[in-house]
Amino acid sequence: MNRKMRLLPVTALAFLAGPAAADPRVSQLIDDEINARLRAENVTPASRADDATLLRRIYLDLLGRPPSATEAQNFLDDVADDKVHRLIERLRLYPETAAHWRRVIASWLQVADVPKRERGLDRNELLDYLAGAIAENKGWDVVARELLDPDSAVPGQRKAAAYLSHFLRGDDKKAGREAAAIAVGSAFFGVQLQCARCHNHPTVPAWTKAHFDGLRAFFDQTEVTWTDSADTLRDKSPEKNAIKPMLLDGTRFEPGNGPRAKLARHALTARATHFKRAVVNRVWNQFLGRGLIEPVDMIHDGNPGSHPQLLALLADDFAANRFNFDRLIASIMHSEAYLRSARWTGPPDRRPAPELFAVAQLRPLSGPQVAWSVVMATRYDREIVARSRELALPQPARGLSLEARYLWESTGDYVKLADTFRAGGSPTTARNAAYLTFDPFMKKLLDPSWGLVKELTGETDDEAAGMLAYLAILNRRPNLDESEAVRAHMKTARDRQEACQDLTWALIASAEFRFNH
Amino acid sequence: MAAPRFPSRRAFLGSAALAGLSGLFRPAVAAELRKHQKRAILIWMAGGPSQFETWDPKPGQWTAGPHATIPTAIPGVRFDEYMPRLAGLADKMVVVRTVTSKSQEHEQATVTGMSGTPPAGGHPAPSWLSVCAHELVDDGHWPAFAALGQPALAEYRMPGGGFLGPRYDPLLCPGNGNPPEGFPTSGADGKMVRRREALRDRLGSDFRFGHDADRLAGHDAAFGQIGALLDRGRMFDLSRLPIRRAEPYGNTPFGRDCLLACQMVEQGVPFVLISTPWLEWDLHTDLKSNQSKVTAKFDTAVGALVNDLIARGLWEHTLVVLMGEFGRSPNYSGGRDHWSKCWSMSFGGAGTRGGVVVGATSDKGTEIKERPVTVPDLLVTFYQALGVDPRKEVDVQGRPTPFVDRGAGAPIKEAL
Repeated sequence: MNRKMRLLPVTALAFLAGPAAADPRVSQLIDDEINARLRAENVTPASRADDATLLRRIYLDLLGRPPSATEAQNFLDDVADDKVHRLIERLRLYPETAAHWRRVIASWLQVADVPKRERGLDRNELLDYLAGAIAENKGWDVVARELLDPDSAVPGQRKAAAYLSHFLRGDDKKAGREAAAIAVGSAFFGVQLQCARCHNHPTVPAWTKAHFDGLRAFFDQTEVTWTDSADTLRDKSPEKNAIKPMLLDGTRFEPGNGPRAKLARHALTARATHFKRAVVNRVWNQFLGRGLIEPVDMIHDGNPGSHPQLLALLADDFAANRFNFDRLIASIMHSEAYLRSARWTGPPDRRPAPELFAVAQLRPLSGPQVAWSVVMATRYDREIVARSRELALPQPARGLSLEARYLWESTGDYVKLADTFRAGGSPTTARNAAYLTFDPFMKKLLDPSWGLVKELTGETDDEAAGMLAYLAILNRRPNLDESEAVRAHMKTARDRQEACQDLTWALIASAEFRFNH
Repeated sequence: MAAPRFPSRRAFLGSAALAGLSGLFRPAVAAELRKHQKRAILIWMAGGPSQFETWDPKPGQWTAGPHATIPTAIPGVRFDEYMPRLAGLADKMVVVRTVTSKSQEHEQATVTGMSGTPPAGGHPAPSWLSVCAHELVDDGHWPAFAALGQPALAEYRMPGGGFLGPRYDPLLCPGNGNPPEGFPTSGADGKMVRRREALRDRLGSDFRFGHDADRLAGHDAAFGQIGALLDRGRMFDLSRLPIRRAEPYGNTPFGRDCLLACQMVEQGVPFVLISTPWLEWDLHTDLKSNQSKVTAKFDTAVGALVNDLIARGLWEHTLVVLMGEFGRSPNYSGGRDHWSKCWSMSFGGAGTRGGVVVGATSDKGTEIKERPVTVPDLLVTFYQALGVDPRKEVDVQGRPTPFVDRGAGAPIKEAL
């Protein structure tokens, strides 16, 4: 059904000359595989989401923030047919992507995406390293190697040591090595080995205690030292009777002589199935709200996932293109599977199973995404940019500067907000609601003396005020019913200022705001 | 044996309660809770208290510090001289003198002490109080767990809901007996919350169409729980309490937190963590000038809390745990360094036995003479006292995950 519509974007892409532009064939491959299963199951997928929804989705997914009201207005006014695809291509080149994706990758690495101790420190080394790697579009194999076996003599790799030192610097060495093995197994190989820590895995026969011990043994010799005001990794000589490092495929190594280098050389290659599939599955999960294999770190023979062939093809293509992250992301984003609506208009009891990818998933925003969404909605971003001007930080022509983003992300306000909304379990917790309802920073953002509330209060026409609020907060125009509800609220309110605060709060506290939909 | 749960409460929204914020929490319900609900208060002695200057003094030995000792309600057992109230209550509590652990770093040891497991990425172990909230409190009831004290604690990766999810994170109160930051205290604030909530509900109707209803239900329910909390907001107002009740806690921020904790466990927040000011017990060099003040303030407030719980009929249902992340070194040189080899802690209430001293250290206190106790042993003991099955496993993304590592931890039978 979409074949005709598809011609446009593919043609459009042919004109794009950015570095590592998406490969339309890969997007096509994704749709072919997904649609084949839909046909087999006799399911008609949801249609493409509307422009406003895609605008917000693409901003959140690439930059980790929604568009400003101006960015939203410009896009919605654009009449070009291929504007969604052009938006993807344009935003991919924003330096801001590094600010968002460094935290996404940190969460894959099982390091908190908002480290609580970041506050008060000017920089966080691991996040810094990841931002640099993303900005340079380093291949995933290079990133993995530098994280596991950094060469501290190379400036671009120095901060990568912060990853393993995060686990290994504590004085309970055994616990630290186990934590490192668990994190590395999940992040790079898509396996959950924690159950195999004390005994063979209860549900996956292929994962034995020997696998866990073998993976841990790659870190048994690692020592963290503090050299030139940074954590540095060093391998000491192996102890007598040391356990031999072993890869998941059973390949064993003698202890000694740089075990982590051996891990990098043998397990981070284009041939290593687990390595490439694990990351492709994570990226897919990031954009589609669900992995091709679930849980994302339970990749094993007994759990082939929903579209085994698609995962294998994407993984091979990714590896064959030097693990080019940017290309993989773009290929997924240009597929119709990614662009579908999250609304199911058929009978509720016929809602297709999520693993068919027939309807987009409601994805709760991550803590950092919520933090930036609240900022953009209330126009606090202007205060941040003003502050960055005062500090003479560089100002980009479009979007926010990385420096401006880091400026706010180093504050306690940011850390508290992002941590309150950290992911896991139920999307919205009572603590989230409590934060929005009475946290002092939220109250400051709703203060009528500046920002959106001030603008709304100054707008005498109720319909225009409603339009402004919806564009700023939800990045769309209100429908007739909503305009009417806004008007009714404004009319009955005792105090216009109060009514504008109520409206701003009610839209920020809405489910529509909480989810990437 | 499962302990009784909090009775389920309807979500705030959609019920008749929308008409008014008061009256949801009726005295009759409170009385019902008082009878059955298990509760716990963990008092975290942040920084690592010295066992020599608390529960395991070694007078006359080279390891002794500058303090004298006093007798306790248990014949032959002596505590530090600045703990007169806890000494008087010793026959109601358990003292463990032989805890042994591995880490001597504040952060790692704090995480381990509260969750039983060293820090890890991905799906970290929850605080044992989060586990209790998960196991012993109905889903609709919030908050079930609150953390009072210095916000600095939060920066040190204090365990919260962990693999149980942020839903079981504590509600943070900033200390000094204060409610959560910004908590609405006036009637006008309550009206505003109600007005905004009605508008939120009205403007959210279009988005509900066609979107996954299961996901959206949780969102609205979370806002409903705020109404229920506002409804119980009076528990935060310590100024309403008679002086004779507040005074014994001492005029200190920590004392006010202990009083607030007592209010909370009585009025519907069954699990409370109180942290003493960050690293207050971490006296490396200035023990002589500071320890007496730190200990006396602690003793005053905790003694008052235990007495208050007894007076209010809550002691039989409330476990009170006093501990830090590790102890302090035998070598006294104006202060003491970190020491995880053998250290002391104490607990009582919730039907545990009183007057029990577990374990013994050597004459000089340099090592364990008999009965080492690990942190998992403590957690298993707390869980048993509260009616939580310590061997239960919950599903974490398809992986059966135990509350206490398989095979680790045995209950301290002599205390139960």
